[in-house]
Amino acid sequence: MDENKLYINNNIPEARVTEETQIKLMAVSKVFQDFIAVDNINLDIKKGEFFSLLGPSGCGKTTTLRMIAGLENPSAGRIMLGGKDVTTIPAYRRDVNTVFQDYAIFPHMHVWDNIYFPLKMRKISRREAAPRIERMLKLVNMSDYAKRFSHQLSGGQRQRIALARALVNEPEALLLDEPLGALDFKLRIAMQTVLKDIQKDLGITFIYVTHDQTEAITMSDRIAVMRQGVVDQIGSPDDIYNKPATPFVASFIGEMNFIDGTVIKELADELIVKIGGFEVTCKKNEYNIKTGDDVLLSIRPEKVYVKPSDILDNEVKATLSRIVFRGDNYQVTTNIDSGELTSVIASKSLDISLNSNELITIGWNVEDARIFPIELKKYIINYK
Amino acid sequence: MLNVLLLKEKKKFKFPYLGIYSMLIYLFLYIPLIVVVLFSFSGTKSTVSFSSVTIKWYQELLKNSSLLSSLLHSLQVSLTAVFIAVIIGTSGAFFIVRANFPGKRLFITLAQLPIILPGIIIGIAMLIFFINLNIPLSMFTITMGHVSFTTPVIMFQVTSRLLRLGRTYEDAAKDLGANPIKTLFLVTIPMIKTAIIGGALLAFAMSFDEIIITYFLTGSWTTLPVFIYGMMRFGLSPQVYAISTVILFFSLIIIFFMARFTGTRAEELEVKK
Amino acid sequence: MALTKNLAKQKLKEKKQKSFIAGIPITVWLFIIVLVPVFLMFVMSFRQKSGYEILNVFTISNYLEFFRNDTFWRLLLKSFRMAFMVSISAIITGYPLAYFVSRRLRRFRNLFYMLIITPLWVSYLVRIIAWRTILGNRGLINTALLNLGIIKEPLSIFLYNQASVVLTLTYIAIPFVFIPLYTALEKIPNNLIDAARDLGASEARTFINVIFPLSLPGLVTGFMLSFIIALGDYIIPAQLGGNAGIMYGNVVWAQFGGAFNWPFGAALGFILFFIAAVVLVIAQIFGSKEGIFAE
Repeated sequence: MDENKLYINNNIPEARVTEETQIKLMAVSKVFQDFIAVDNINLDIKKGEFFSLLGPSGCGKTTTLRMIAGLENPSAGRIMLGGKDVTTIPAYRRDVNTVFQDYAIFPHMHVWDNIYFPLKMRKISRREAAPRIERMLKLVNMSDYAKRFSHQLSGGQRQRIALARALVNEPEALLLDEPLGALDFKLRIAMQTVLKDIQKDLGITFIYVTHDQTEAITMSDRIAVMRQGVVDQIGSPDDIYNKPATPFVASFIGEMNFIDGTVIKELADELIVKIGGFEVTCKKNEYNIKTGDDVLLSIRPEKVYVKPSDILDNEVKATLSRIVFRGDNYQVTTNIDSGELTSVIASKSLDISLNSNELITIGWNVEDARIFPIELKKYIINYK
Repeated sequence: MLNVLLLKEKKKFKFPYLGIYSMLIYLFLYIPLIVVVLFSFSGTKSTVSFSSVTIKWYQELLKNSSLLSSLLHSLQVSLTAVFIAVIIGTSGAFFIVRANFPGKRLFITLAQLPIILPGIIIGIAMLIFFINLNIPLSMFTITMGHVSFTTPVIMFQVTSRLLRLGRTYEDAAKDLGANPIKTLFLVTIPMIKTAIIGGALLAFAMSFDEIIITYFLTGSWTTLPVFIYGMMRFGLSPQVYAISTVILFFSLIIIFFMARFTGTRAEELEVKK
Repeated sequence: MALTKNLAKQKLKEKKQKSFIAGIPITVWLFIIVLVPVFLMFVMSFRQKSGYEILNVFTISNYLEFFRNDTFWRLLLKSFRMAFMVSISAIITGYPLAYFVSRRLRRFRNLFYMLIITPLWVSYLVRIIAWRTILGNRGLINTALLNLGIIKEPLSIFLYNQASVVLTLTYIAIPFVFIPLYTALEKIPNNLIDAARDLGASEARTFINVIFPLSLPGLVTGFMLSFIIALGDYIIPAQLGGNAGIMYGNVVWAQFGGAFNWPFGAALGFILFFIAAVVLVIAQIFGSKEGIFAE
């Protein structure tokens, strides 16, 4: 079958996210020998939500997922599932199912038996199970593959069988551990849509572990960004992208400029920050930053305007050092005294003439920049 | 253009020294075995002059009651030893793969000793052990001797399979509602089954053929190799060739099945990735 | 955080108990079949034989006897030499073979691999019988030479000497050398060799500079294994060695048979155990990490 011919559903209902809590993690920690994998995290996942755990490898996201599944016991804290405390309940008695990273399709059973496995565990006869398995195979568009074995399937097909197997019991929540990690780029993009559609269609809570920020942002209702066992921020993709809570989140998701500065004056809602020889205005935020504090100013490249025609809140003079054509946009790198600033300009709007080493005006609006205490600088991820 | 093509052709041809050398070694490995098989069909008693073909030596084997009873003994010993080794070796494999304890590396090294030490040492040590305990040399002592080297054979076969499989499949089974016992019987054991069978066949082949350790632990109750060894003292009779050929034949069958069970099946190759 | 760690330790303990049940049979086996017997052999080596009795005394006279009476340590040295020759010959035959099967063959690689290791698992005795047939006074070689008229009467030079023992032990040892070498050679990634060739190295230079160093751990393991096997064998020297080809294993065996001097035999056995242990430690440090019997 053609890899790209995927599940299509024309009447996708609206997302059924409710206010009802489905899964709750209260002060959960996990320690392996001397390594703290998960450090006192709290999560409140709503019913019907597509919730992502996002973070670099080793941040504890998979461990968190495994604790929800019951495959790891938390070292401390409680886990609630549908209002019941399941902290000590083993995996096989929890009403959640997992799609594993490498799919874990049992190699000694064919596809049909793989999907029958969870039903068999519930003592459902083969005859009774048949229509349900049929429906699941149809859902993932794999009806013709019932008698195949794992080694006769492609990566994408295995992924769909793993999905069908995890869903056949209609679990309260579906846990997905980097399910698209092993697929090639195009198939990954296609499967994102499939997963999202199935999630909306069935209205089942999805908890999705990924290190791919784009994947998390495009698919999720909410995202928890994790770093070294702690949750740095929980919020909608919009919040995470536009109002990152920490420099770590800011640097992990998308591209970000970071500039060092010092607060020189405090106003009612705003702070005046000196960066290099310039004074810029920044909004006060949840960090209690005062006059004299060193700060880290963050701003997205696409919010930095080169040679702005309008008057912006903050404007500085910078030396142009580099322009890189990136297909649909240009990346313009400029130097100011205290660091480098890049901006991104849509290709079609780069009609301004630019010469290298030219001193140009760049600027941004107050609400587009965020400041953090300088101590958090060490958590910046150097992605490039 | 033509010149270039010719040059390429020339460059491609290399005299296959390595291939020929290797084939000679294969001949070196197999000619002795073929000799044994041929001689078992030789019509004359003097081993070398090969004038007629006969199967009478095989018929004589069937009449040799002490030989037949030692064959029976060998089967008893090997089957019992392999059965015990499957239990100890498989559970031991789970232990060394799944449990973490200080001195694990040493434990694994010690468990390998019966297959990497010279057999004579195990033979002496076990002989002294049984005599110390006043256990007379018998089928029991021989079987214990065979449990010494069959156990690690099976254990390391199963260990490498368990390591290759990882824990994901068991996690998946538990996640899908299988309790530990069901996980063991429906997922883990079916997936390591071929390694157990393969290991058991290999252990059986080794046990059936063993003499170095056995020779120390044998009283009047003998196994087939010990019996043949006794026959050899009076020179190599055609009967010795005949029984050798029979052993060879059955060993090859066992090894053939062992190879089928370990490692090379498509579904396991899949697991390997 | 301290609380968290304590909790973790407690959980760990619970988990441990479960997987330790699986460890009971193998631990019992290890003690009864391996450790206690070897220990008892060690104890026995300090006892004294008196007539047909073994005295319950503690003496190091058995070890003193080994060093005082030069027959024994000379024999050990001779066995060392022979085992060394076996290992070298097994590598000379086994290395090209391993190289050929692992790097030249593609389609029939598994078949040719099995063809080499099959003899490892079958018919030790049959192989001895085969070589006696070939080398014997009325054996294959002699008959052939007689029939060709090269010699007038059978030569006895083929059997009952060191060469026949080394030959047969080599024959036994080839698979033991082959397996670790094959594993080491097969693991060398092709792109490494391509890279070497691409950088201008000839095939010979690629072999010397890239392939051979990477196969060294396998070579060490193979060498050590065949060395131990050759050093400890007593059946092959007894069957093919005659008086000239007698080895250390034969005198060890004799202490438990005709000589009936178990304490001395145990001491000789323990000396062999000690040598084997040293060789194995060397193999562990410099050799490859895979065992011979892993899948």
